[in-house]
Amino acid sequence: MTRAAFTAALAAALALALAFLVLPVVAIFADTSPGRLVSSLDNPVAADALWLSVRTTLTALAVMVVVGTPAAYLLATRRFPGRALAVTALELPLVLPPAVAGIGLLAAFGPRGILGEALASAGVRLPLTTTAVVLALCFVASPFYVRQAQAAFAALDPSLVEASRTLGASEARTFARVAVPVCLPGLAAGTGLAFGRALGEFGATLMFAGSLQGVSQTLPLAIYASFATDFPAALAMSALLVVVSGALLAALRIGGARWAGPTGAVRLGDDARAARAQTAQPA
Amino acid sequence: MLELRVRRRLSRLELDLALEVGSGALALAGASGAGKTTTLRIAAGLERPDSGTVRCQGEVWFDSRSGIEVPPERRRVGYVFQDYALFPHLSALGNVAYGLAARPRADRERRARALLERFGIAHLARARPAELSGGERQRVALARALAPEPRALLLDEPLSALDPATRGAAARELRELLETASVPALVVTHDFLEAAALARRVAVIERGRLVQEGAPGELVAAPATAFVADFAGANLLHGRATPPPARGELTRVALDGGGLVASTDEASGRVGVAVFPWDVTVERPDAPAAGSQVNRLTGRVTTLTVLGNRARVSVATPQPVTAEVTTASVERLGLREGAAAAVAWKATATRLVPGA
Amino acid sequence: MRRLAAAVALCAALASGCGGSSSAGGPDRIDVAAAASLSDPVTAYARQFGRDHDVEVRVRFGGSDELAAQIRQGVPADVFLSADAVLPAELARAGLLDRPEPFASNRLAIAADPAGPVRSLPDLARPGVVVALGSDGVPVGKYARHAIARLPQPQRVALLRNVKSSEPDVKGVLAKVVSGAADAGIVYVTDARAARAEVHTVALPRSLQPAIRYDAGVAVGASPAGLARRFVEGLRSGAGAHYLRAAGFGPVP
Repeated sequence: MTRAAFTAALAAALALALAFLVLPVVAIFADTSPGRLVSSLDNPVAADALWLSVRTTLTALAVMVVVGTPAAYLLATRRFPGRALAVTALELPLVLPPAVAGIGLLAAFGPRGILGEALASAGVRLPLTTTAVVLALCFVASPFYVRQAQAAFAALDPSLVEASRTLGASEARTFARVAVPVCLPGLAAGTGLAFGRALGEFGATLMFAGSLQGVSQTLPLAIYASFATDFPAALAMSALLVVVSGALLAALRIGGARWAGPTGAVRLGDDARAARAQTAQPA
Repeated sequence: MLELRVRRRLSRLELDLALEVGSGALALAGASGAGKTTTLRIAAGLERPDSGTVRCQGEVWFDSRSGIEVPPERRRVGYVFQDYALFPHLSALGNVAYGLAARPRADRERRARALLERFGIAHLARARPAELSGGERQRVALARALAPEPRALLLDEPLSALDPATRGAAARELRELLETASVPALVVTHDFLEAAALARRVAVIERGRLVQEGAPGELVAAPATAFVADFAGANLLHGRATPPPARGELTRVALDGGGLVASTDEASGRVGVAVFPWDVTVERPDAPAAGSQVNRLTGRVTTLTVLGNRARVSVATPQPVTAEVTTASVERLGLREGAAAAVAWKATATRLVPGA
Repeated sequence: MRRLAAAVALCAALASGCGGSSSAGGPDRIDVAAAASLSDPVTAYARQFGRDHDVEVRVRFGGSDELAAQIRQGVPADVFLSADAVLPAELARAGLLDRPEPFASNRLAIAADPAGPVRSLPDLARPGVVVALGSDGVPVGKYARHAIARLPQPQRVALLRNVKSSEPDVKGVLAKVVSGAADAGIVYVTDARAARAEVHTVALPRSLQPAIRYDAGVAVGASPAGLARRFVEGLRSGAGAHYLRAAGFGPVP
């Protein structure tokens, strides 16, 4: 195949992929005027769903970051028996269908689940609550964060950690003052991916947390519920979700670029920058 | 005093080393993979020996028998990493102040600024490492290592990340720093000239074992093994250079203690004159000067070391110049310790390196 | 290049294959969209009908409202079996269905967790009881809310306060009870009967029962229209009716 023909084939594939991926998104907006989008927020179902989605997603993210960051650090920086198994187990939800996640959460935390009796005796009933939504989001989205965080920590130059130790910092202080700030771009990217996954979560939430306005009916569940009764409202809410997710993606891109900018982390291309700095300031 | 007596099984060799570093620097030299960096890391507590002891200024940092192991953060060593390992998210000032966490805030900043000042980079306090040149990074790394008033200095190839243009000046500064620092300093290098430039004493390790320790001149004059002979290649003479008076002429160096040599390298002021033993020929002191052997010095043979079919002949000129010759030449010239001899080499084989 | 051409051809073939499966049934296939509550009898009936008429019958189940919305969006179906009369009538008005007619009736019941606190209708309104209903867009949810609306006000308010999930279809309500997530839910008698091994069924008094009528409609332009019509006919008075009675559905009211 000639080079030109190959380039044409690549371009055709890209055009096909773009058309396929962009068309449904465009279609959502083609049927939704901006006015309709704004007025959909007056609809209590949409407003409650948006607010609930934001609340539960942020709570789930906080839990993921607080627990997932140290866990990822351990996995990335230590070798121990069973580590490979732990990594696989943590990534498993990534490939599980949401329905399986829902069943699994019920089987674990439901009244008939493994922990059901213990939870009941503690007076805790999880299914069909907002807490259940947060648990479902954590379950499906945290692998995205942990994976990314682990990769970021694994790429951390070990001599930075060692330099911190020789400068009198304990392992814990080194983690907080060097590892986390240096890996922040990677951690932010992981947070973004997890946020996206959590915001769009549907199946596991429906199965484990049910669907109730203001309690467990997140934006995707509200879209599904309105789909049959009020299609224009469903469209408006879908558009809302696209806007929120798109804004998030853009913020991540811009934030990531700024962080890795001239004052940011050392990475590829750094030497060129250093060389420029050198010529700019004669010693 | 920093004292290491350690054994450590590495993947391809066994490190088995006893080293004592007094105040003043010891250069730990050897080929790559000989275990130099591992030794440094063991001293810092970044790696654990299989057995042995590590002591510093009367304190036990590691003792396999009594199970003592002081973690790196409590050893207070100043470690300079090969690539400097500056924290990319902190400014130069932040990097230097990092090791001062235990001090009050104002004190911390004052000391960090004073160190930047001392290294002539106070104006770069706010710059991130990515914005600094190689030489500036090295200074920040040194300032950072010195900030917490370390009990020992450990430097891993401190000049290797610098470009040749800045290396000379950096070497001079570093030597001065190591001589004025009142703590033991261990400097790892794979380059003999660098070792000779930075430290008064050089320890050569070969496959995990210490094979020779001494002043750079001693290593050149009387290498203990063939490896040391090859490795500790160059003679290093000290002197003052006068730049060539006109284009096309040579730099003249007046050697300390007497003697004048010429070099095609350009330099002025204090320099080190490096010449490899295999570029030096030995002649009878009364032999007529041959054409291009411009540099010719006479003196008495101080040592004569035979290594197989070759021999190292050291002549006090008065600075020692060592030549490597065949054992046949030794016989032909009737060389022996105490005999008069002349050493000669070309101006083109004379490297001038910045030196004290 | 030849290999690329082959790949493109393969993609095209796959795409046309996919397209084929999503269009309405061809000469030897009928696509049926049926309310989730019908899943057991209609599955059995479709299998027999397919054998008897040498035709492939494909049935997809879901909330009636969702299926209707799909038909409105142009997702093809030859036959629509709804758990109410409203949705088929709407589709008929929109010119999408041809004269829908009733084919079965049903009643509501309470499906309760056998290990849970619900043994009677008043139990549903007791504090702390967790109740699941269908969402108000889906027939089972509408019927349940009609029934609840006939309760005296204090009981009605207390019960509605106990509703912790509005499920998208009746199977969802049942699943919440079976899994223990909810103590009870209001479902069709037929679903409670199908799950009798897992749930305790509590009958609702006749005074609360809404009229639950299942209507069937043949899509305008269905092909083969004759077979589709015969499929619906069988539900009213043939083998389909037999399966429906066996599952607990009542005759046409």
